[in-house]
Parts: sequence; structure tokens; C-alpha cells
Amino acid sequence: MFLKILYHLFVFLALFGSLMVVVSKKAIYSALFLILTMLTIASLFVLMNAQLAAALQVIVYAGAIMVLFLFVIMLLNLGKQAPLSRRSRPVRWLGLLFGVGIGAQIIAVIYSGFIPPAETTAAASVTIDHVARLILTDYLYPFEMISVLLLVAVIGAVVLARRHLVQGVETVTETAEKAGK
Amino acid sequence: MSRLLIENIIFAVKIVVIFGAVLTAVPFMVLLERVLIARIQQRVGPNRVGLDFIPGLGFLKGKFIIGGILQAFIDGAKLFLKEEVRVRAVDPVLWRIAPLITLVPAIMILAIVPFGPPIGLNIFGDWYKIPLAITDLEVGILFYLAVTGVAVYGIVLAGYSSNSKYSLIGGIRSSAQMISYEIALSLSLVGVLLIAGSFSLSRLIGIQSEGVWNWNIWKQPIGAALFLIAGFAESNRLPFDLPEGESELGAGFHTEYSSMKFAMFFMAEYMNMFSYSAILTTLFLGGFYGPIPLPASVYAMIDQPIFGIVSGVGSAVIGVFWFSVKVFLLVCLFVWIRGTLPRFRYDQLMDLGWKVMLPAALVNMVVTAAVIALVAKPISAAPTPDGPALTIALLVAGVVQVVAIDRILTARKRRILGHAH
Amino acid sequence: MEYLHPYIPILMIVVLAAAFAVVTIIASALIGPHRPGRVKALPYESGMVPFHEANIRLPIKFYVVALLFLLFDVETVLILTWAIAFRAPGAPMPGFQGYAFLVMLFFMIILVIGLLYEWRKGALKWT
Repeated sequence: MFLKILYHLFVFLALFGSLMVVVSKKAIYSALFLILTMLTIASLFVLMNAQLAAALQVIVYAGAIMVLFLFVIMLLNLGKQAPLSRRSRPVRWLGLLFGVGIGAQIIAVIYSGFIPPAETTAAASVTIDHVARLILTDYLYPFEMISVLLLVAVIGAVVLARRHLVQGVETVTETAEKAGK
Repeated sequence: MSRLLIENIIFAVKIVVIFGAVLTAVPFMVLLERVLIARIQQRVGPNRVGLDFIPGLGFLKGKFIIGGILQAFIDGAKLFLKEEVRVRAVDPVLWRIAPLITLVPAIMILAIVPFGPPIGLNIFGDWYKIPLAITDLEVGILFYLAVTGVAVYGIVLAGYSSNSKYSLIGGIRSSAQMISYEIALSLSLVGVLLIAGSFSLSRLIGIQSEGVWNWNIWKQPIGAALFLIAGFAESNRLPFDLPEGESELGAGFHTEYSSMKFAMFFMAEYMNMFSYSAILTTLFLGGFYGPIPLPASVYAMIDQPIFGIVSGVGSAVIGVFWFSVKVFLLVCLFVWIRGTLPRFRYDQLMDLGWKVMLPAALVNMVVTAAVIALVAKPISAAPTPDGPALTIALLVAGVVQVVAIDRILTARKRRILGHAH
Repeated sequence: MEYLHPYIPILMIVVLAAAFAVVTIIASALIGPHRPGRVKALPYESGMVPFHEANIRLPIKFYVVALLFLLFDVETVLILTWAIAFRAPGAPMPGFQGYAFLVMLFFMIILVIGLLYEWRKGALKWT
């Protein structure tokens, strides 16, 4: 009973948060609602006894990725106003069509039985060191590939920012303005 | 009443008691800091608002109790009664919730701190084993890292929403500093986790029982040092207080806050200081275990049930005592360092985090893993200390690393100075 | 259900902390005086009248640091998970610790290459 209430509360918060991410006019609000969504999804992981996944969800998504988002928002000064460009009417209708289509697909997948219901996934009591050992044995290849992926990302980040790092103070917006002229 | 309900009531009682205790400890920590800093700087320090404030208690002044013992409490009350100056913020909503986002994680960390060994309690004929920690998560250390990671947002938002240049620069500096040292903070714990084989704090304490020689600081001297330094940086205290460097940035990210909202940031800083000290104690300094274990017969005597209601009171009292002593000494260390060291420059700070502490943590991790693979067996199911072989091997490895780090840093310093001249 | 038990106090303490903070802030705002003024609402600028909005642009270095933090954070959580498995009882194969050690060494060397690269390219330089 109590579990059901909690589950519905977190699901509602996650959906509300993700809706507000899209609806919010200010970029910084979108980012904050995204953090709320991440935290509630982590809570849902806890309800499913996926404690490691919950912790990593908070550390990586809510703790690291969203910090990057906030930095970018502050860096580009998106907070003041981010006027939505007035798109033409047909584009809007097209957007609605695609939205409904994707929504229908998601609902179809959920009810097709492709994803097992939450009760069966929560039952297994998997300890953390078991998960950790699986990473080292069965999923060794993806694990090592992650390091290569991270290496590529590090190099990409440095290459993208290198010119500015050498010049020191120029910001992304200034470069964008120059490029536009 | 069902067992589950009683256990939840016990949880609630523990939360209220521990939260209340730490909340009361905050003014004393402020007072301790002011008194110690005053002594370091050869000043008098707070000595006015003392017990003579309360009629009939004045005779205690100057004997055992510091003259200004009520100073911090009165300051808190004053902040509570002050006018709240509302700036023309960029975003009033964010400006209002930023202190909340800072304080809530600071309080949440208290949930996993173990204060003492469990006690037994007899409720309606049933015995309940009550650990003197609010909860013990299987992912305890990850919970700690996650909560400290979320705490960055309060500072970022405070800086962003205040519409003040000082706040903005302070906020962004502070968050960049916190995330830089978070890597070193997490990696400094790898050695301890390798030894314990678990994220659970009860296990991490269990392997440090039975005497000072089993404490993790002997096995992980580098890890402990890195964790301590990263803790200073994470809590924005001197010598890492650039975000609030008074001479350059006003008060940093909380320049535009007054009254109770300022008090929230203030409380969060001291609570963070407390929880860093508590986690450091738990991970490296044996937690609530004393340096020399008493004989089992003594424990059997002092842990006897009292009136058939509670048991284990003796060892609980001893445990809480040792825990408090260690945390108190660490808080004094925080203050001592604040009174002694000058502030870093920002490039020095980033250099230390990325170019010194991160490589040192990685090397320490590899060395620890190698030593464990060579010396130690897989862990046992019950948390028991490892034998002296592992301690000695890791201590030797740690000393070698300290010497190597010292050599490398000295050479680097000489090189940099050589370039300068 | 048993596994959720340690998390109940987490929920409680979040509620308590939020309630404590909200109640004290509201109570303080109600009790304290409130005399707003035009000058009072100006942001602090060492006693001067602020000469423009505080939307100064920040150096790109902060952004690079946040990006590098994200990458190393992913690495760190993987390392922490590995650390737990290292000494776990009931090893899945003989010589598991040596194997796990080599796995991590390989993982780490690739990342150290990344660290050295950004070091050489000056991404860690703050002058």
C-alpha cells in the first residue's frame, strides 16, 4: 500500500518534471526540472531494489551532467530570455503529429509485454558486488570500451576549446558573434 | 503494534534526536572556531555574552566555562529577527530556494553517520537492536558522494540568481572548485573500499575494530590525506575559500543574502564541516572504536541489561565518547588550518586538484590494489579486521608513496621557481 | 520490501530538513521587520551604484572543467564499483584478483592518456 503510494508519487513527479522541462520558458528552469526528474527516477530505481543504479543515476546524471548544463546556461546567459522562435503553422502541426506518433509507440511498447512489469524485476535480490563482478567478467568488453569512449570525449573537449584556452578570456558567445559577422 | 511500525517510530526518534543534537552543536562549533581563531591571533575573542547573562549563573564565568558561551546562540537569534533584504534578483524564485538546496543535502548526510555501537531496547517484551546511526545503506559511500554532488546546485543558483557580480563570480568559482575536488575525493576512497569490499559504513567500521593498529589510516595514509584536503576544498574553507574571499569578492555567492537565508548557508557550512569530520573519522580513524579495546569481560559487565529495558549502554556511551572526541579534534584541525594558512591563488588551487591530487589518488589506487592482490585473501562475510601483514605491507607502500610525492613536488617547485628567475 | 527499510529514514530526513528550512525562513520573514527601499534592493557593489547588469561572460575554462569533471566522474563511479568486486568472497575464477587488477590497469591507462593529453594541451592551465 505504502509502496504503491510512493511509486505513484515518484512517477507523477518524474512525469511532471519532464513535462516542465519542455514547457518552461527559461532554460535554467528546464535544467532544474530535469534534475528533479533524475532524482525521482533514482527513487524509482530504489523502489525496484536497484540501489547501485540509483546511486550512479544521482552521481552521474544529477551530479555531473546537470552541472555541465547549468554551466553552459550561465556561460551563454540563456537565463535572461530565451525567445522561442515563432515557427510557422504547418511546422507546429507536424510537431504535434510526431509527438503523438512517438507517444503512441511508447505506449504500444509498454503494453506489448516487451518490458516485463515492475513486480517481476524488483523481486530479484541482487547484491552490489554481484553486479560489480558481472561488469568485470560478462560485460568486460563494454567496460573497457567505455574508457576508450571517455578518452575520445576528453580529446574532443580539449580540441573544441583549445583555441579559446590559448587565447584565455574569449567566450563561446563572443566567438559565435564573430563567426556571424 | 506491529514490529514495522515500532521500527519506523525508532527511526523517527533517532532522526529527531540526532538532528537536534547536531543543530545544537552548530553554535558551539561557531563559538569554538571564534575562540580558537582569537587565541591563534592573540586576541581575546568573544567574552561578553556569557552565562552571567542568565541571573544566578555568573559565578561560573572565567572558571571552567568560556566567557562568551552564549555568543553564537545570540547571534543565531539575532539573524532570525533581522530584516530580510530582498535584492532585485534575476530570478526571485531561484534566489529563494537556493539556501534550501544548500541546507537539505548538508542535513541528509547525517543519515548515514554511525555515532556508536548498537544498543538493545525492550519494547513490549520484544528486543530491538538499534544501531546508533540513522540508517545503514548498502550503498552508503555512494550515497555520501551523491549527496555532496547535489549540494553544488545551491551555490550555483545562489550565485546566478543574485544579480550581483560578486555572487556570480563566487558561485561559479565555488562550483568549479567543488567539482574539481570531487574527483579526488571519490578516488581517495578507493583504497578503503578495496580493503573493505563494501560501500556499507557498518562494514567499513567493523574492519577497524579491536585497536588503533587496525584503523584504516595506517593502511591508507595517502587516501586519508587526500580525503582531508578534498574535504577542505569541498566545504569552501580556508585555504580554499576563494569563492568567499572577503578581500576580492565580498562574501562570494551569499553576498546578497541576509537574515535567515544567510543563516542557512552558514549552518550548511558548519554542518558540512561536521559531516566531513564524521565521515573521515568513520572511514580512516576507527569511527566510534577507542584506541585500545577493553577486555571482553568488561564489555559483558557494562553491557548488561538495565531494568530489562536497555542493554549495551556501556559500550554505546564509550563509543559515542570516542566518536565525539575524534570529531572534536578534527573540527579543531579545520580551525587551526584556517588560522594558519593563507589563501590559495585560483590557478594554484586548480593545479593542486587536477595535477597533484588526481594523479596521487590514481597511483595510490593501483598500489593498494597490487598490495591487496599479493598479500590479502578475499574478505570474510562478517566484518573483521585484517591481519597485521596487510597493514604492514600497505603502510610501507604508503610511506614509499609519501616520499615519492615529496620528491616529485620538490623537483617541480624547483623547476617552476627556476623558470621564474 | 525488506530492502526498502533502510531508505525510509532517508525519506523522513529529507522531509524533516525541507520542513525545517522552509518553516524557519518563513517564520523569520514574518517576525523580522520589512522596510524595502529602492537603494536597498540594489546589488552590492562596494558602495557604488552598479554600472551594469551582472550578466558578465565567463571564461570558457569553467566549461572545460565541468566537461572534464563529467568524464572523470563516469570513470570514478566505474572504479568505485570495481573496488567493491575486487575482494568479494567466492571469486568466479582462480586468480580473480590478478585478473581484476589487470582489467583496471588497462582501463586506467587509457584514461591516463586522456589526462596527459589535456595536461599537455593546457586544458588544466589557469593563468
